[in-house]
Amino acid sequence: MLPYLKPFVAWVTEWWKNSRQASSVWRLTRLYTSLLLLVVGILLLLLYQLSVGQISRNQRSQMGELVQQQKLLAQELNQADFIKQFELQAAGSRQYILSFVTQEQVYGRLTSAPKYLRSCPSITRFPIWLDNYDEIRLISGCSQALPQGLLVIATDDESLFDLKTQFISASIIALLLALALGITTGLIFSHRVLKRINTFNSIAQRVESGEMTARVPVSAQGDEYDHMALHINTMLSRLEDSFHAITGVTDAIAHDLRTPLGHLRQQIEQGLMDAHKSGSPTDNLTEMLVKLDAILFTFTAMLELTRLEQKQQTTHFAAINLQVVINDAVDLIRPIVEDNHQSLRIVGKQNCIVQGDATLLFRAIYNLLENACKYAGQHTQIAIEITDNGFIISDTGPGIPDHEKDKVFQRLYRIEESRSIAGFGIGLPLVRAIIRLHDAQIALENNHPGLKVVVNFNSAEQ
Amino acid sequence: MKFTKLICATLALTSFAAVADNDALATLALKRANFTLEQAIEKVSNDYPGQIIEFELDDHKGQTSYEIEVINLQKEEKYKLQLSTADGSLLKEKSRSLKIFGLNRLDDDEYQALEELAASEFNLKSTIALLREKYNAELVEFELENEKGITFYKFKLIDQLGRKRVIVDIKTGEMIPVMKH
Repeated sequence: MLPYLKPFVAWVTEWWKNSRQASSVWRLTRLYTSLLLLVVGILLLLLYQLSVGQISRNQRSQMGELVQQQKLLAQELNQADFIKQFELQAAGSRQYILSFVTQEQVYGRLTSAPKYLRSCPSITRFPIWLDNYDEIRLISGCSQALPQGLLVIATDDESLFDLKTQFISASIIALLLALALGITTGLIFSHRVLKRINTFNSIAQRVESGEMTARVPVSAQGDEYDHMALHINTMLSRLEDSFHAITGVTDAIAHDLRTPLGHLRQQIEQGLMDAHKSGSPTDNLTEMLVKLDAILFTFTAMLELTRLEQKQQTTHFAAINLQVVINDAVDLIRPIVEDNHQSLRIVGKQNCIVQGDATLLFRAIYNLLENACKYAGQHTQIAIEITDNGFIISDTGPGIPDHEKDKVFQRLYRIEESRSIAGFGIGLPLVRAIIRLHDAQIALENNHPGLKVVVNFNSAEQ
Repeated sequence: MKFTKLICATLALTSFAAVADNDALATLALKRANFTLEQAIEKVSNDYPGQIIEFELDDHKGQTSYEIEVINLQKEEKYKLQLSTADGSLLKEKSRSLKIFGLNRLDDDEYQALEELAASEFNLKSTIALLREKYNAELVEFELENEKGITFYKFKLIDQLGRKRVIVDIKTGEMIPVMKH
């Protein structure tokens, strides 16, 4: 038993350690199963103590009484009288096998007494031979030293022993069944519960990734989960409404101001032409025009961003080779790179084909490259690498601190340190809207030093 | 047809008579034996490494013989030997493999008995000498058995009062108590 126990215990502790980090399904199942096993175990123990244990205890106590009686008689009677009463007792008792061994002779029902018999009340199991039935029987007994000789008392408890072994094997089977039942029902129930919770999780994930219209399905059962689902759905609706309100306000401002700003632009142009004709200085007016153009550009970009974010259909998507788009974008950005004394190279010549809109992808890539040029600073290296399922743009500039990495995707957000550089905080949100439209992921990583923008497409092929 | 019936009847009759008179004959034969059972056991255990599982008196062409069965677990063979009671010469030797078609002839109980016997310090020869001296009787049969996890030799002794069984536990070397009724 012991040599098997050691590896078993090691295995159990190992398993316990591993399953400590397990999901809540497993934890629930484990708890449920152990409770079930505990209950079944207690029941079995009780049953055993009330049946086999009780009989066993009765036998022991009766044997003890017999031993006490004989001890008393041995003190009172002389050798001959004691043996006489003993033989009567031994012949009369059917349930208990009595024997008395003196130096000369053996009295009672056994022909001899085994030497290894322990003294009462500890019990030894030993074999005896039944001549009548031509078979071995295992009986339980003990010996008691008396002044006249050795008293052996035993009882044939083989059937009780068989019952005991049967009880134990039945108990093991019952416990195994309970274990199997516990694990299966526990897993089924926990799965059913967790399935609902996982629905909530996946909906939350979809909302997180920008799909504001996602809602938790509500079942007809009307249970606690449905209550929760209703609350969450109401919450999401509110959130969507306020989200729309904000974008609506910015859009409305952009939209409404575009027309008067357009008129203003025309007037400045007119003013410029008049100034040309009259020969008066035009510097002031040209500067105004440049600034106005920047404002108009921002407004256009903001409206476009809203349009992109609301865009869902991808039916016009076609297979696009990233290499081609990237080459175009690099060609366009190269003059700026050279002005900044930076180096730009394309690494990796993989043939990465994605499903998408070439114009939008071009804008996204150009935007990212432009950001790299703008924020990395002079004399830095910029690299664009085509990978198996997307591309990576990296620079050796100052990078973005970790706590800012999420915020830079927000509309109009700008990092404090970069406020000096011209921009409106529209570029990265626009890039993310495009990337999301393509069912792709964008991640900002550290390039040690610098920034690394990793884009992975789910639809990428080679 | 009639003839075969006759043969069967004769055989039945003679064998019945043989059983009735067997004990007396066996005792007589053993008393007359020049080559004792202990000697036979010693000879067999020297010549045939393995474990003696059975012994009985047998008849070989009108001559009384010791029939001894030995099992060699390593070679997986079983030997059935007949030794003359007169001079201990080997009258007959029969050996067969314990395996048929890769299956073992021995059941689990027999295997357990043999393994326990091999592991124990039991000495068959001295036990036989002890029994003969203690009971002042002739040993006519013994057999190795395993029952309820107990491995034992079942000895059959004959004295003036008749047959007697003595059971000896292999593990302890002690006699197993016999219950009288």
